[in-house]
Formats: sequence, C-alpha cells, structure tokens
Amino acid sequence: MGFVFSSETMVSHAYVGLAVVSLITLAMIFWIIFLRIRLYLAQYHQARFQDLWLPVFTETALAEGCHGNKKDVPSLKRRDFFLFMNCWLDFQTSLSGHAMVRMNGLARQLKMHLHARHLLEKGGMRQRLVAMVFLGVLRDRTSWPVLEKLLSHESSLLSILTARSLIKIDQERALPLVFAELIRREDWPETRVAVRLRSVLTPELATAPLFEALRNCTDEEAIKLLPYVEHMYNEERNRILRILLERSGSDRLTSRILKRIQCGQELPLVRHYASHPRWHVRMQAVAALGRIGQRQDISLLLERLGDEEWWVRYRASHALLKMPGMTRQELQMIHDNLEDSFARNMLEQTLTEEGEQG
Amino acid sequence: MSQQQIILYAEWFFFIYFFFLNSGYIFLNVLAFFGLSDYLEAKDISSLPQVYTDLEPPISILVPAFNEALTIEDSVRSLLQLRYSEIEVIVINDGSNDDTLEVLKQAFLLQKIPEAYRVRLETRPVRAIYRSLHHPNLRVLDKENGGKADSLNAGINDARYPLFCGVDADSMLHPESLRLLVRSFLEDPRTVACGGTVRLANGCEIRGGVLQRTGLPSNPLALFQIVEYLRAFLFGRLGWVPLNALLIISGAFGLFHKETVVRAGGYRTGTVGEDMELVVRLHRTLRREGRPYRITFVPDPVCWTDAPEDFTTLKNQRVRWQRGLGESLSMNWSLMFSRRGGLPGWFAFPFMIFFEWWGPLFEIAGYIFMVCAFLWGVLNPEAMVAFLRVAIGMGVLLSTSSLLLEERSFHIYPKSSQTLLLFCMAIVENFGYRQLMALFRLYGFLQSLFGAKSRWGRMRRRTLG
Repeated sequence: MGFVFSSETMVSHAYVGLAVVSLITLAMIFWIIFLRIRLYLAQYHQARFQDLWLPVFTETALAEGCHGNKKDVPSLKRRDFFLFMNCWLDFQTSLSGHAMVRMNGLARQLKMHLHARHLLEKGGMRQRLVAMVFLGVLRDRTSWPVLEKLLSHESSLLSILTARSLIKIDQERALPLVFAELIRREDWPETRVAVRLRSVLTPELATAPLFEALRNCTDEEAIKLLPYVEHMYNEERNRILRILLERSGSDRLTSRILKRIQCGQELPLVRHYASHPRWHVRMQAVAALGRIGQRQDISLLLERLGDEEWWVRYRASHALLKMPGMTRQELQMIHDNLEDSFARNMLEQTLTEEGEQG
Repeated sequence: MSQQQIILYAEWFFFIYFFFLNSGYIFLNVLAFFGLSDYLEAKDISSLPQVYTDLEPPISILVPAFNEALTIEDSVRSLLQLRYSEIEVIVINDGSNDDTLEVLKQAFLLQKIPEAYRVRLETRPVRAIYRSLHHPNLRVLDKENGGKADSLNAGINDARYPLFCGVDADSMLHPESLRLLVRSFLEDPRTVACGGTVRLANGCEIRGGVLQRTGLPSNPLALFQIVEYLRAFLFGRLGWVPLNALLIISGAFGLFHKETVVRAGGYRTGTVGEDMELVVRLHRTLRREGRPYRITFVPDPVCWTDAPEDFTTLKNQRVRWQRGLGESLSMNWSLMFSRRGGLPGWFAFPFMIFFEWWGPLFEIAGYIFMVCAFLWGVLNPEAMVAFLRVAIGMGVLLSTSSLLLEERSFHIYPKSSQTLLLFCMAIVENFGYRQLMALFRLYGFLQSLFGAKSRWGRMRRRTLG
C-alpha cells in the first residue's frame, strides 16, 4: 500500500510531529504551573507587605509628629521599592492637605526620592512611569532637569506623565513648556491632556501664554489649544476667538470656536455660519445663536429646524426657546404653524422636555 | 481514474487541508501571544496609580429585546450601573408577544415622548418612544417585529452619541466594559469598531446583574464550551487584530462608530449573523473607499452570557452560528482577493471560507473517508492511529495554549483545580464532542447553502435568567 497515510515515511513523520506537539503541550503545562506558583507567591508577598505598611501609612497620615525619626519606620528592602511606590501612590489618592505632606515626609525619610530617581533613569518602562508619577506627587524639584528632558520623549504616555509631574512640581514654570509640547506633538490624546491641564490652569497663569500661542499658530495647532481658552480672562478670550474665527480656514476649527462664542459682537459671523455646508458647523452656529442671538434670528432658527441633521434641529429648537422674550405660548404658536413635520416633531419634543424640566 | 488514484488524491487533499488548518491556527496563536503581551503591557501601564483618567466620548447602548420579559429589567438595571461618564440606554422592543414592554414601563416609569429623529436606516415602523422618568438616559423604542438587525438599525436611528454599543438583552456586562473598549477609540482615531471578549456565566455566581464569583459548571456540555470560548476569543479573535483582519465581533457586545456604520448601510436584515456580516461589510466598504481604519478587539472578559446546557439548544445555536458565518461571507464575496482587499480580503476571508465555513464539510468527509478506507483495507491501522493521534494532539495543543494565554492574562478561574479540570476537558472534547459539533455545523453549513428563514435565537436561561 503506497498511499499517503500508509507509507512508512509518513507514519514515522506523523509520530515525530506527535512528539513535537506533545513536548510543546508539556512545556505549556509547566509554564502554566510556573505562572500559577509565581502568582501565588506575588500575592502572598504583596499581602504581607500591605499588612506591614498600611498601618504605618495610616498612622503617618493621621497622627502628626509620628515617625519623626527613622527608628519608627520598618526597614524597606530594595526589591520592595517599587511595591512601596505603588502602595504609597494608591494611599495618597485618598488624602488631602497635611496628611499628604506627612506622607511625602515619610517617603523622603525612607529616601524614596533617590530610589525613584534611580528607577526613572535606569528602570523598565513600568518602573519609570511609576517613578515619574511618584516624583511628581512628591513635588521633587531636584528631578526637574531629568523630567524636562523626558517631556519630549517619543513615548506619548511617558511624555504626558512627565508634563503632569512637571506641572505638579512648578505650574508656572511648566505651563509654557507644556503648551509648546502640546502644539508640537501629534500623539498626545487631546482629552487626556485637557483634563490634566484644566485642573491647574488659572486666568492669571493661562491668559498671556495662550493668547500669544493662539495668535501665532496654524489652524491645526489652534484646535489643540482651544480647549484651554475657558481659562483666559474674558476680554482676551473674546478677542482671540474673534481673530481666530475671522481667519479660520478649517471647518473643525470654526466649529470649535463657535462652540465657545459668548459675545454678541460675533453675531453677524455666527449667522453666516448657520447655513454652512458642514452640519457640525451649523449645529454649533445655531447653539451659539441660542446664547447670543436676538429676536430677528428666529426666522433663521426656524429654517434650521428643518435641517436634515437631527442634532442641528435639536439645537435649533433649544436655541428658539432661549430667544429673548420667547414664551411657551409663542413657541406653541410657532409649532402649530409649522408645515415641515420634522421641524414640528422636534419642537414638540423640545416643548415636552422643557415641560418635564419645568 | 482508478480507485487507487482517487484514494491517493483524497489522502493528499485531507493531509494538505489538515496541515494548512493547523498551521493557520498556530500562526494565529503566535500572533495572539505577542498581541496579548503588548495589550497587557499597555493595560498594565494605564492601570498604574493615577495614570488613567476617564475622558471618554459618550456612548449609546442599544439593547434589542424580543420576548425578554423575564430578564429585561435586570439587564437594563445592570446596564444603567455601568461605570462610564455618559451613556444613554436604548431598549428596542421588537414587537414582543410577551410582557417585555409592560415590565419596562412599570420598572422604569416610562412616559411616551414625541421624539423626533430622522430615519437614516430603513426599519419596520416604530410605534412609540418612551423615556424613563427615573433614568433620563433610558429610552425604549416600541416597534413592529422585524428581527434583531432591524431593531439595531432602529436603535442607531434614535442614538444621539457618536459611538454605539450593541448588547444582547440576555448578556451581562462587566462594570468597566465600556471603558475597556473605548480606549481603542481614544488611542487610535482610525478605530471604527471594537469587540469584547464574551465568557460563559455557567457556574458563576451572579447577583443583581453583577458577577460575584467565577466558577465552573458541573454540566460537561457547558465545560466543553468554556474551553471552546477560550480558544475562540483568546486566539481566534486576538490573532487577527495585529493584521487588522478581524472579521467577527460578537453581537453580544461590540462598540461601533455610528457614522461609519450608517454609511455602510447599517445592519443587514434577513440574516442570522448580522453582527459578523456588518464587520465583513465594514472591511469591504472601507477598503473599497481606501479609508484608513482599524477594527480591533479587547481580550478582557467584558461580557458574560449563558451557554446552552442541553443538546437541542446547543445544536440550534451552532446551526445558527454556522449559517450566520456562511451568510456573512457569501454576502461579501467581492472582498475576497479584491485589489484593495489587503489582509482581510487575501487572508482572513479565504481562511474563514475554507476552514471555518466549509470546515465541517471537510472534517466530516475526512472522518468518513478514514473509516471507509480502513474498512476497504486501503489504510493500515497504524497509519490511521498515528494520524488520529496527531489530530488530537493538535487539538489539545491549541486548547492548552488558550489556557496558557488565560493564565498569563486574566486568571478568571482562580483555583488550580479549575485549570486542571479545563485541561482535562480539552483532552476529552476530542472524543465525541468535537465530532458532534462538526455535525451540527455541517447542518448549519447546508442550511446556509440552501437557505432557511432567519428568526430570533432562543435558549433556556440558567445563570442569568
């Protein structure tokens, strides 16, 4: 019999294959056992570490004057530095005020800032990230030169966390650096950076550098900086938005500027954008009319109430409600006279929603 | 052609088929292994203390429901408890014959609203839209019966947010599930769809729509399926991600970019595999348009569902899946070997056709051939035993690699005895269960060729019901 499965060569090959497959399977089983044992050991070690250190953290956070000298604190082994930083950071998130300062004192007493700096320069990615966050929370000014260098690191996560740590250490010094980096980089997730910056920005800190940056940047760069104009003084904010709206060559930018328009001076431009070909621009324009519009804009809003895009109709109907002197009765009358069923349905929905809220 | 020649060709065919099938799986396994390492490292980093910040876009959750009166309240409550900054839950009652709508009305104090929305995807008429007085972000669409795809399309029409998530009414989501999935959209703006891993709730302890404790069921059918799900999700899906050639996102839980889906025409009605069909069509249309895109998958266990524990329900499920697979592929033939098809068109699509859709046909034909050849005396017993051993060995190897991936990543089953039991099931499944599934799938394959009316899949609920 000389068939494929019958030939002796094939059978012997099959057995060789089987042996290889069995060996790989066996190796995987040992790997699973190894992983399981390692996990148990790590969990055991972590539990013991927490049993030892969490009471120390609690005591430090609550009782002033405690652990004033090194004798009061358990010794920390080198292999536990990373675990300590993680637990310390976790614990810090639940604290405020003096408790945080005391926790910083504890970390410094254990010379953790030195170990963190060492990890920042020599550690693996995960260790560097934790060390960076740790040094930021510790407000360790001596780490500034190393952190400043890392701000332009190719890893976006590393650079974002660097920005955050720099801001924590010295806001005033950090903001111009971070704005410049924000404009330069394409890889920073906008929202993530925005939340971080918003938590520290004040009009005093933000107005001058932002105004300058926005006046001199391109449309794409302006889009990145726009989320922060809320933190500028009103006068400068309105001025820069006007400048940007007049020169904008990008629908995305226009839409985002319209979203932030609060000043009646821009009304003619806003009206112009209410019939823009892109729906998101129209939507932001009608929403802006709701904030700054006048009664003469009612006809324009009625036109948008029949827009093909749901969101434009929705915003237009809400903008109508906000028109100066607009009453429910008048709106009901407008509703009754509408011929477009989409517009009528939308107004009906808005009236119902408003009724529920009222 | 002589009988001997026919047998020789058949032997070569089955041998080559077996070789390529297993090579493909091993290749996917290797990709999944490295993909999982990268994923875990990224996840590890984003879960570091104070690194993660919640900055997610709002999401519309669509829950199509047909005769779900028993489970719908718990399902919706569990969805409303998801940890996410901004969601709206839209339940689409697809003309249920039972009290689904009444249960919802009473449980969530629904009030009819004159909601206006533009019909961008054609659907069966919507009879009414309700809004909850307790939960402003919960709406219920009551529509005429049109099937799951039609319900999802109606939900998309009413959805207000840029991302939507289709959820089965009988599935339970992990509280962090949306956050895990949305990260793909945050980290890569080209992402248009992201699937989540579905795990089996049989044997787990669930209270108030929340998973309390993982466990293994005592029912052997459910145990076999747990091993199957591990294989299917941990390398069957994850392996395709680095190639951007993932063709399946489970209908039980997937997150989609709404505008892209609307542009592609929404879910196709009249199919049983509307979830897979949509993903294949997204590949086809986006590739044809030359738009950069990414369809990805999150290996974290984010969605829990019940597995059938009786043969009839299991058979129906597998037949439905196989039909769905066949319909999804046959409706998008033009993706295969198309000029702009890329890896989805040149690798994933043919792989799915030859090894997944037509697979049961070849598998059953292979068994029949082996037995016949043996009975006719043209196959010596030693060769047959050797070949069967290799086939079983490969099956065990692939299952073990899934267990290893699971052990490296999520440790869903914390006890060593559970891992041991799953390993035993991975061996035992080769003696009967695997062949039975091939038969069910063959039946589904034939149905996909010769057509049968699609309808909502039903099953007997145990854990989640």
